[in-house]
Amino acid sequence: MSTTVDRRKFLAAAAGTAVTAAAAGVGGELLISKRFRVNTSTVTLAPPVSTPKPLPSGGMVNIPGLSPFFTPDAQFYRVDTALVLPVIPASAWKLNIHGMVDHPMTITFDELMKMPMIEHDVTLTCVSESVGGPYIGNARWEGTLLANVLRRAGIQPGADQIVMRDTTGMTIGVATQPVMDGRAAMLAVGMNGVPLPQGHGFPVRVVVPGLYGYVSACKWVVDMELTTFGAFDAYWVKRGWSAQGPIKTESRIDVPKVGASLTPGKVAIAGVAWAQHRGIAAVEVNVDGTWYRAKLAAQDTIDTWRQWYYFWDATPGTHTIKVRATDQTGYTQTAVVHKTEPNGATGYHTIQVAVT
Amino acid sequence: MSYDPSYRRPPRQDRWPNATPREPWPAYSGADAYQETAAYRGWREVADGYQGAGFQDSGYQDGGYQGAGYQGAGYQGAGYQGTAYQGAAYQDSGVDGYWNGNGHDRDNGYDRSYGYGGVATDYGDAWEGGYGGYGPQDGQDGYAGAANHYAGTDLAEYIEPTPTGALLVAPDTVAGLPIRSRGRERAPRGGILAGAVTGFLAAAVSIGAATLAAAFVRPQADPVIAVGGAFIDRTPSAVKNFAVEHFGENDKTVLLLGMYVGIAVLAMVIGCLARRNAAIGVGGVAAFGLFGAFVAITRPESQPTDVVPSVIGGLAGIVAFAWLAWAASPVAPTAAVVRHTRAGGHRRAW
Repeated sequence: MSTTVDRRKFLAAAAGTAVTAAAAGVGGELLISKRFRVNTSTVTLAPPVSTPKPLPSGGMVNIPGLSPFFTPDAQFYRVDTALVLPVIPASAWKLNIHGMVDHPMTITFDELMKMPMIEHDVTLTCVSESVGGPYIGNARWEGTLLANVLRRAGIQPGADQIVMRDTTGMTIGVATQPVMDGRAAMLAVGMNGVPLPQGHGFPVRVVVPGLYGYVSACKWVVDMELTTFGAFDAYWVKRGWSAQGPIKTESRIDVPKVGASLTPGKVAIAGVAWAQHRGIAAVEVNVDGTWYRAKLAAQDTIDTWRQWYYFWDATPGTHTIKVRATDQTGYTQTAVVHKTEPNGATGYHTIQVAVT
Repeated sequence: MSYDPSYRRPPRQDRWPNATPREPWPAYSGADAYQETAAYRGWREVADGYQGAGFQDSGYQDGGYQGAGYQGAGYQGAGYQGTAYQGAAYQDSGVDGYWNGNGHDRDNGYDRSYGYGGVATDYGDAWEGGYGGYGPQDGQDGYAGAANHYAGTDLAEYIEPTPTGALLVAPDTVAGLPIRSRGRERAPRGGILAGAVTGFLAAAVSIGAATLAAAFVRPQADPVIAVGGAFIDRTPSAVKNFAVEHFGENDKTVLLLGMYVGIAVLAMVIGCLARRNAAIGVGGVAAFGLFGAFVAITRPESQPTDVVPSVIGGLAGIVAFAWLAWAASPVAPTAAVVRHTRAGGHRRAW
């Protein structure tokens, strides 16, 4: 038998197909990244009619390891279901508003940009943020108030839910009340002074202070339907999450890190605390059972997190450190540990450190 | 021993050469042989006697086979002597005669003894021919009728062994029952690796082509992306939470990686299965493509053109599979080589 010929023939064919597959796959990916990456620089942000007050002095604390007040774009969390980022050229973007409205309407990107723009600092939080988790970020958003757009459409009485859709079929149901109550719920086009990155919803996304992202922060939004909570369950609600999700008062220790080895003496314990649209009033640090009042960075807005720190005189040994926050309504976060489902985790962030 | 012919099929004639005695084997195969023998003439003369009483009632013992006919012609000398014929069948068959008594009865006679059944393939032909020849002869009514009966019940089994036919085992291989099902021949060694590589590469070509096609449609039309998206939408919250908490924002990468690994494993399994039947490979790749196309156009916000990458990927995968399967197939061996191989020789698949 001509075994050599067979083997050679097969190996040649295998190599050929492997090269073909690799060429097609890599070529396809390159082509996709070339053809389906939006050029966000085509959008020029108009100067906002209202800019935030300058950050109060002491609004930012710089301690190594502590989360910066403004989260850099590259570190800003991204939790969504889009395996492939939607591509929507700004020139092709339209927002369709329909349902329980008096005047169903469509607004184009140019029309949107002609509306008065505001800038506002808002800390976004994912409902999947477990205690001490990473899915929280703060940014300065530029956009126009969603309430102004919806008022042009004329919301009918009883429409207690706005179902927002992106181009992938995602549905996010936000309550009408917080959108219309005067807070800075906006159709955002800019993030930290630049057009929205593609992964954060270019060209237009929704930001509603005080609500978890899964019930407010629709990226790549192209459709809004005014309806009721009784009439429609949005994507995450169908999957067991609560229909409404106000952000819970929580806090996190950023430094020292879990399990860090410290030297005796003055040690900075620092982190962030948040209770969006209620504002943080106080943060307390517990070291081995004793509560201490932490120092807070000056408040930017009630819609942002606040950094906090406490200088602890570390002694040798193993220590347990906890943190809890109290918001400006007087509510102190609960010690009851709860998982993220169905509407956000609770509990004190607790770490252990060794001082030697 | 009992024997259920419904799940054992008789072996092919060439599987049990020992069933055929070296020599002498009576010349059953044609009517000529009978006619030329004195035995036949003798038997014919005796046959008159059969018609009256012998064949049906008193059977062979009285004046039949032993007396003049078969004995002289060599039945006893060769074939029948073996096991069944003499031992159980003809000689004992008394009153009931040929059919229901000890003779042809399946339980007691030919079948069970394996002797008669064993040689039945050739034998059946011989009987048929032989009786056909006898038919016109004088006084053969009884015998001819018997022959018809024979054909009506047992002949089908004897002449053309079918999967449901009677046992056809050589007398000297009864104990071993060397029965093998068709199509269970061992695959050539080394074929598993070739099959796995074939399946893997066919899947790789399929996915690559689909990705390339998706670049001209839209990325969401890529079947892997579409299926991954559908998977995300159907993932239980507990699993999703686990993924978010453990893989963080790499959850999508982990998902795609898992999908690629799963596809690769499945493709390699299909590739192995397709070694014997190329239709499995073609069907497997086609099923991949159809599934991708189905998911792609049933995604929310999908477009009709979203089927294109899946279809192109499926076709490319089929072509790749066919090419690799062809390349992995051995050079067509000669009959001699096949025989040598089946007889225990080995050859390399690739």
